[in-house]
Amino acid sequence: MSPELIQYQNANQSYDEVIKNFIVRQKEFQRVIDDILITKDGSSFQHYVFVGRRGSGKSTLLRRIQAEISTNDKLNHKYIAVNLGEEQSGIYRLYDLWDYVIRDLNSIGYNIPKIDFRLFKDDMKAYTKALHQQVISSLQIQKKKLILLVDNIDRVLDNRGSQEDAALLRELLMNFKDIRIIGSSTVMSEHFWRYDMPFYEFFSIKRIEALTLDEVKKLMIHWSNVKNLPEIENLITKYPGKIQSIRMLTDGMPRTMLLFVDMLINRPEQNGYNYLQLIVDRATPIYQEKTFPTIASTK
Amino acid sequence: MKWKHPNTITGPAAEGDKYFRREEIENRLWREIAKNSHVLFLAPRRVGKSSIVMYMSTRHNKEFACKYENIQSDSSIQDFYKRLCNMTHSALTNYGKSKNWLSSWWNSYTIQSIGKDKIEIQKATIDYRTKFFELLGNLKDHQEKVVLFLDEFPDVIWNINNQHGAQEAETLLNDVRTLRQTKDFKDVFIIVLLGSVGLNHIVKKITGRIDKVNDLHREYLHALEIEQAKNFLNHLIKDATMQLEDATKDYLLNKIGYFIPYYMQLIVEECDDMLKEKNITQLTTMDIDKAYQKIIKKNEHFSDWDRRISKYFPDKYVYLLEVLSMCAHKNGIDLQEIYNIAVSNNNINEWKADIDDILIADGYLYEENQLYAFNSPLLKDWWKARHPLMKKS
Repeated sequence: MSPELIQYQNANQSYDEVIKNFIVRQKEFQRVIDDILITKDGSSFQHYVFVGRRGSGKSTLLRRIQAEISTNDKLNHKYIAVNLGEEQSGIYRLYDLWDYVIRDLNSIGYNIPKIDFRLFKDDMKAYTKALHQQVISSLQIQKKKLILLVDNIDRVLDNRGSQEDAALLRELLMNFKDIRIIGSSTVMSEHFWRYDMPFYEFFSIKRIEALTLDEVKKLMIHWSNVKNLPEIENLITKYPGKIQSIRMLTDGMPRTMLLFVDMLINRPEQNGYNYLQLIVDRATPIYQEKTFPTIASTK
Repeated sequence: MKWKHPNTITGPAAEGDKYFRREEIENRLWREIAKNSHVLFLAPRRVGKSSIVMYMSTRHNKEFACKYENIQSDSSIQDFYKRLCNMTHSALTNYGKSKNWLSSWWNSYTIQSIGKDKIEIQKATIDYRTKFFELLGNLKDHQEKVVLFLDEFPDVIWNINNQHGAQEAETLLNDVRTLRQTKDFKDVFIIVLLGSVGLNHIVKKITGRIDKVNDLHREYLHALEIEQAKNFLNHLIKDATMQLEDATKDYLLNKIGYFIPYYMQLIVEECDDMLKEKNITQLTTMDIDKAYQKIIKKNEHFSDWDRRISKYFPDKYVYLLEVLSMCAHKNGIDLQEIYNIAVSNNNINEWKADIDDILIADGYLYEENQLYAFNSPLLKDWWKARHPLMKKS
C-alpha cells in the first residue's frame, strides 16, 4: 500500500514532515515570514487573515508558519507560536480563546496559574481581561512575542457576544503589542469589511487562489514521489491535457485534487454504484460545511 | 536577490519606524493641550488618528504625563473611571512622577488583604468614579498634569446607552463636561477624545441635543496634501527593492486621487507583490493600473455595500443611490446638488439626516466644507463601474 498524505489533521505531522510536504502556497508563506523577520522592536506589525475555500491549503499554511517559527533560530528566540487549529471549534467566547492559549503555553512549561472564574462573579469581561493579562505577563517574563494562529477566525468572531468580544479583542490588540494574529477564514466575513464592525479593514487579507498549472504539476510530482506512484508523474509527462482537466474539475483546490487523483488511481471497486458510494463517502468531509452552515450559531 | 518590501502597515496603527509624522496636526493638538483645552479629534476610520496620538503619548514631555489607550470595550461608568484611574497611575509612573502620595493612593484600594488561611479577602466594591475625583484633587495638590488620549470614546457612550440606558450615558457626558469646565480640574487633567463615528451624532441620538459636547475643541484630521503624500510615498519605499521614477510616483498618486495613508499603502503593497512575482524592480504606470484593478477585483464585498442600502433602507435606496453615483462620477458632490436630488426624489424632510445617519455614519462618504466625497477611492471606482450615469434616450 502506498504511504498516505495527510488531508485534514496536519497538526499530527511533525515539523519536519510539515516542512517537507509543504509544496505550494510558498508565496503567501514567504510574505508573512519575511514580514515577521524584519519587524523591529517598538514598531507596529501586521495581522493577517488568509481567505480561501475549504481545502485550499489554509490550515497547512498556518501549520507551516508554526513550524518555521518553532524551527528557525532567527525567529524562535523571539517568538512563540500557538496554533489553535483543532481547538477553535471549542471557542465560544473570547475568554475561551485565552484559556486555550494558556493551556498551550502551559503544555510547553509556562506554568501560568489557573484563575478561578467564580471570583469575577458575572463580570466575564474582567475575567477575559485577567486571562489576557496572564498571557501578556508570562510572555514578558519569557521575553517572547506570541504568534497566534487561528483557523476559521471568522467563526470565532461570529460566536456568542461577538460584537462585544470583537471590540474587546481589537482593544487588547491595540493596547498591547505582544500578540500577532494570523488567521484563516473560508469567507470574507463582514467583520473585516463592515465600517461599523471593530475589525473593519484591520487585518491584511490575503486571498488563497486556485493553484496554477505549474503549481499543480509541482504538487503532483511531490505526491508521486511520496506515495511511490510513478503513474502520477507519468500522467504529467505523457498527458498534460489531463492535468489541466484535473485542475479544472477540482477548481485548483489541493485537497479536492488529492482526493480526485487518489480515486483515479486506487479503484478497487469499478462497479458503478459502489464506485459512486465511494466518491460520496470520500467527498463528504469537503462538502459537510455546506450542509451545516449554521454550526457556529447553534453551539 | 533578497527582496525588500515597502514599509507598509495596513490596519493597526503605525508606530515606530512605520509612523509617518504629521507634525502640523501634532503641533495643533499640543497647542490646545497647553491651553488646557479638552479636544475632540475627529476623522473617519483609516485616516490615521490613532497613529498620531500614539506617537504623541510616547514623547517625553516635561510638562505633561501622557497615556494613550483604545477604550472601545468600556460599557459602564464604572469601567470608564476604572480605566481613567489605571491610565493616570500608569502615565505618572511611566514619566517617573510616581511619588509617595501616588503609591499610597494606589495601594489604598488595589492591594487585597490576605487572611490567616492565605485566602485573599476582597475589598468592598470600589466606586471608581469617587476614586478618580479624589485622584484629581491629589493631582492639583501636587501640581502634576496628566493628558489622556482616549480612542473610540463615542463607542463607550453608545455602549453605556445600550447596556445601562440613556440616563447613565448622559451622566458620563455631564461628568466629562464638569472636567472641562471646572478650573481646578482643567489645570491638571486634559483628555483628548478620538472618534471615528461622530460624537455629535451619538449624543444627539441619546440626549436629543448636542450642547453636552459642543464646548469641546474640535480638531479634524484630513487626508494628506499632495506634498505630504509624495513624502509619505517616499517614506514607504525608502529601503524597498521596488523603484519608482518621479513620473510614476505622480501617476500613482493621481490614480488614488484622495490621499488616505491606508489606501495608498494598499496599492503600494499590491504593486510590490506584482513586481516581486515577476522579479522586476522598476514599477511602470501599466503595473499600477493592473494593481489597482486587481485590488478592486479582490474586494468583491463592495457589492455588499450596495446591497446593504437596498436591504436596510429600501424606501430611500433610489435617493441614496443617486447621491452616491453622482458623487462617484463627479469625484464629489456639494450640499446643493444633494438637495436637488432629494427634491427630485420627494425626500424633502429627511434628506440631510439620511446623508449624516447613513452615508457618513456607515463610512461611505466624508464631508469637508459641505463637499461630500467617498472615503475609499476603491469603493468610488467600483461604484462608478457598477452604476454608470446614463442619459435617458
